[in-house]
Amino acid sequence: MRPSISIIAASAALSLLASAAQVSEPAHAASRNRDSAPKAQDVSGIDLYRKSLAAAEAHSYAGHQYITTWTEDGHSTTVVTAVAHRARYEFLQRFTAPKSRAGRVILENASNQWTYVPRTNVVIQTARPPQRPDEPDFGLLKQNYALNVAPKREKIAGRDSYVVTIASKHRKDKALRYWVDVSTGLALRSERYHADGDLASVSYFSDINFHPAFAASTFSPTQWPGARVQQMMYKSTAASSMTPSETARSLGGHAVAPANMREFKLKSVTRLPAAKQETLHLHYSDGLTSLSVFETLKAHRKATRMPGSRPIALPGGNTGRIAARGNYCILNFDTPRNTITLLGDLSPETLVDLASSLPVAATSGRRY
Amino acid sequence: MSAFLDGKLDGDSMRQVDRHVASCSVCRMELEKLEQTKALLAGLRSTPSVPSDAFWADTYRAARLQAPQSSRQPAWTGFVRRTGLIVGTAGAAAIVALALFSNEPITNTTPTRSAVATVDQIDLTSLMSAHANYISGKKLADGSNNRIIRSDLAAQTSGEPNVVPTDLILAEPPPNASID
Repeated sequence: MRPSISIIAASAALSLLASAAQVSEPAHAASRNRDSAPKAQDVSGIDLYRKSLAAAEAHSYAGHQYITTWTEDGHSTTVVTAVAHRARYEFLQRFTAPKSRAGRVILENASNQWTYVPRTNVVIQTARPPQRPDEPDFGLLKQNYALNVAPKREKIAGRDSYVVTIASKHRKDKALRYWVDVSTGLALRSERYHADGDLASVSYFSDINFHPAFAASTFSPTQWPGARVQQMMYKSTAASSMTPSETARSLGGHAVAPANMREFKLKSVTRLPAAKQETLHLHYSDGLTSLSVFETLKAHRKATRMPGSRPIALPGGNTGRIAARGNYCILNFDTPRNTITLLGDLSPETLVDLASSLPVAATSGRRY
Repeated sequence: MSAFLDGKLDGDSMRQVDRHVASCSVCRMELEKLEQTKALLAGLRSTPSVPSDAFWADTYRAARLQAPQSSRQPAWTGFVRRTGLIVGTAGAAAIVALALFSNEPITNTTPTRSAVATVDQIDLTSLMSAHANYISGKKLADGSNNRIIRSDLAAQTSGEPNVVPTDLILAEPPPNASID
């Protein structure tokens, strides 16, 4: 269910009450911050974006975060979590709703990530990649998006915040608004929009405390006695990093790896080491959003199947398959030699458009 | 019930309530009502000031005016063979290989699985994991939902049944569309 006018009206009154109750700094400090902070017209969207990304690691905090996703037909899912962060790298997220996810915990430090699954009493441990794979590319962001700061600040979780709008220069279905805490720079709320202007997802703090006192065990990975630990490893080696000539030779010489797909720029090409059939992973970015393209040499004459998908028309009268999981949208289609899958936090229309920019022809989606 | 929803119970109690709710329709309905109420109240506490259509029309118009003409053209430049230099530049500046995802059990358990289980069927879980591994936690656009998806993938890997199907969201299918 999308937010209705009545909910929005009611929220105005309730948010005032909530704001009064949730200010986590002394009133005089908040007042001082407000007075000394630059006015909205004096700050730039790109600087606030840069600041908000840095703030996510720089500040310790604890609070509750709500994440709601709406599908295009209006169905919604709300995930409620308690979050805690100790600067710079310790992070904990405890899921409290919906029931299907309640009790799950994600714990991270500089080198590892653990996910506790209460229903199976299993902890999945993952080594974090030694290099952050997708660092923001601010030049690309500026090239592809317009960032603007609204003239009036708003309150989120009782805190004075700048409102930043990010809109694609090329597409009507890629827009984001987010609220940046004036004092710390942390993003307190973000909203994504469908092409029709309705909300696609919203993520926000209902309350946040920037001076938390953590128990010694808060960020301990041994807080689930008796749980079975299951390790999953990244294989991050030089051997899996592919040069252009290696890429050109892969998939029997039939790899397709354009340097750009529309406004998305190729960032890396790797090989999935555990795949039975050689599979390439091409990673693209437009400065804000990541796009993965997977290519596998096709060994069967049958059309590739994708569970939980539906057919979607591709340019040229051919057919692909499309599916969505959470915010991810996945498009698969076959060419005479490869099966190609595009995956990202993007709309079906954008994925189809990006697919049509590849220098290959899709087959009919049935036998060829 | 409220403590259960808030995750304030310990692991054993959480599992006991979970098991009971799975078999008791009265408690399940009660829990769902409470969950909806909490979510609604939480939503009211924020400021969902959804902008008008005119706001977005103006925003996109302004954004398009900033776009260079050349960037509106299809941007790809060809096959790998023709883009060696460009790919090399991008590749050098970018991420070293990351790669994936083979389960290597140490203290236990699940057998090693392949990233693409069969050639004629896409293994979405593995591809989503590969994609999620590439997203930095510092990215605003992909970040907030990424951990939810990672927790779903972890639950699925740990053996929790029916994790992903409950979260499957399809764009509206055309009439007479077939679903695999």
